[in-house]
Amino acid sequence: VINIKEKINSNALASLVPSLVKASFFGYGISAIFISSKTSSIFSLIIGFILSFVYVLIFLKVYSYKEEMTMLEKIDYLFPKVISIPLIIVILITIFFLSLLIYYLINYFVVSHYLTETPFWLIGIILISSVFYLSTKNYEVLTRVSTILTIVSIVMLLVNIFGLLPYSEMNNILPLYNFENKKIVKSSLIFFSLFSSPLFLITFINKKQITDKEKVNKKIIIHIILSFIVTFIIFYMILSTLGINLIELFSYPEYIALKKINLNFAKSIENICFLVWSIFAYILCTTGVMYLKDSIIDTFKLKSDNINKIIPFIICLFIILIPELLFKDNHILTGYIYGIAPIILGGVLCGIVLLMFPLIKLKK
Amino acid sequence: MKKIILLLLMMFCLSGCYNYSEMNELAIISALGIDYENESFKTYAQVVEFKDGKESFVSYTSEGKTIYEALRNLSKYSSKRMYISHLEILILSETIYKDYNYDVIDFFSNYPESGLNYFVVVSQESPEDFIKTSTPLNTLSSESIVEMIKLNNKYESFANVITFDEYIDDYISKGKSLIVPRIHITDNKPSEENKEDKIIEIKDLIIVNDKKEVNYLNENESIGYSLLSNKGKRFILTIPCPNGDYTIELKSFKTNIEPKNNNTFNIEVSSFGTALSFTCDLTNEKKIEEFIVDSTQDEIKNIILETLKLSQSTKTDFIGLGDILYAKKYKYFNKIQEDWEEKYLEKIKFNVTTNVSINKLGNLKSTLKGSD
Repeated sequence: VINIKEKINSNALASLVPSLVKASFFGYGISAIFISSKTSSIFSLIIGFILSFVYVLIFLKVYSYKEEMTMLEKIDYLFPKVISIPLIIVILITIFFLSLLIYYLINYFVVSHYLTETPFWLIGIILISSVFYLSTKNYEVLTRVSTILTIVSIVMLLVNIFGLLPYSEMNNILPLYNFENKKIVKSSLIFFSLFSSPLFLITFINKKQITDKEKVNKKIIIHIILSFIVTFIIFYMILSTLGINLIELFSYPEYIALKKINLNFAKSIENICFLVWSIFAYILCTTGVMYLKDSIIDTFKLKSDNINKIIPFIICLFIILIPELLFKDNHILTGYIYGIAPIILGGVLCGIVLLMFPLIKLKK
Repeated sequence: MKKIILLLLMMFCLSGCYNYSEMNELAIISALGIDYENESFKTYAQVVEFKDGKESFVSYTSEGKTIYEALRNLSKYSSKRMYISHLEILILSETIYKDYNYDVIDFFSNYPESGLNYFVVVSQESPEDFIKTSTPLNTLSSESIVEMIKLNNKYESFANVITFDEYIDDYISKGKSLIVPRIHITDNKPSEENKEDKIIEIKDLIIVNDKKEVNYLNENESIGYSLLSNKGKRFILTIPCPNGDYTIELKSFKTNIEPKNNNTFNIEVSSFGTALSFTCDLTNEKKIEEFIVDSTQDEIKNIILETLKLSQSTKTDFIGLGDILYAKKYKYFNKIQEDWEEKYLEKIKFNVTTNVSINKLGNLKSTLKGSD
């Protein structure tokens, strides 16, 4: 049964932020932004980050309100029952959708690029079994794994960036502004949605459970800024290395760019370099499953010795089965995702936080 | 007990990948040639083979309605799976280069095993000749061509390294046309040991425009292209002087191309040079260095203008002036991009300025000829 007295420190919680905010760019996020605003994506990123930063400040205000409550409890408290129950259900479905999406994208990528002969479900089982194992543990294990993987991902990102530097050309990022304001705004909103919405997952723990809660806001803001800088560098390197024509052509420009890395002592290391995205995806998927597990246990007041394992098992089973049963045709799902994912994620997860903010002001 | 079960389960996971392929089950293709004949694609594969510690190769040929089918058909003749991840060079026939670039790009960018860093060349003869050839210094012709292009790019800049991703980029781009080195095969003087040795030569650069018209760059134009595209590391020019010639090696060159307005480009070239090999009489020249600098600058300017003229006369923007316009004058280029090569390229005017500094004049104080 969930240990509600479990405490973690602010560093551990903030260590989740870099992976969460970057993971959802993988596969479709980067492509969607570049396809929409082309070389002006650099502008979109900056506008998107300004929006995200404002959102983060609002999010932290909401997070700090009624410290003893989780986010779902706050919704229940702020809204009348008629609204709060459907809202909570929508949020849980959206978080499930986010975990499913990340699982699907990483699996689809592995099937189409690494292990072309291996069945989709087999790769899925390997990934999801580690997600299941971690989600049966407590938050401390999750944050510790996240901290270690974040350090590994920093090293890998540095290898990737330095490996791509010789191929980076300034001319590829021009023209910086292509006068297509509507498209720039659209991709800014996509960036905002993908960057900000996964932040909702850190509310799996209420603020009172953080040992040094007075430091948490500052640390989250620092991690958000650092994550943006890293995301910006990733976008810049992809654009300056490949150019907009190749980015538009390939489904995974982040992977295609890595194909160019050619260290003197090692060639064709793109598959190893690409693990960094798997790390982000793994942390996001696990955090999503843990969030769902705790919310379900908490909401339905479930008490059983094995409930901590049964619920994540069922969630993981659904994550594996849904793409197998409903989305046999990969192209339909990926095409669909391009259109709706940012709207759903941003609309629900960010929208609710933005809706709660004026209500909190009113209550005060 | 739980731990034992877990360990047993892990054994299955750690034993290897599902459907794995052993190295000795793969036929590693180092060079692939593609041609189009009688309404079908022909593929020629050079497969690396190690026998008794020595490198050798086996060549295979097959055909199909698509490149994919042709490549798959190679397995009819081989007991191993054809594996193109380690492809080093893609040799296209002129027919393919002229008419079927789309098919090549479509297949190789879609195929998961295909990389992006291998070189692309066009062959004057059938690609089959190159695939089946053993060269004097390297057994594998693929290795020989790759090393030759790299070496040329480093020391002469006559042939440029074009990797597959650049090839795709040039093909898709509205502001740049394809340009690829062309190779040619000739008979070597047969030796006692190996009478089948052939010599492969980098012939020139080959360009193609939207109308599928093919043209070739001569040596000067190739150097001009290297200069304008900032490719290549150094190159050698032999320039006439009174009663002879001198040779200068130019390196560290940088070319800056900026659109002054919609119809004029400013081109600035700067370079360092080492003057070597004088066969001219410069006793009447006041300052040897000044003469060399002036004449080299003039020569570079002529080479660049000659290259630009070819680009305009063939209506083929292999230099990528359109890309520069796209980057710097986006709105204007967006309007004209469909007719860029056909209508607008030939109207462009160029202001070329060159700046050459001679940092070495060789070991001699003056020319031997002058002191006769």
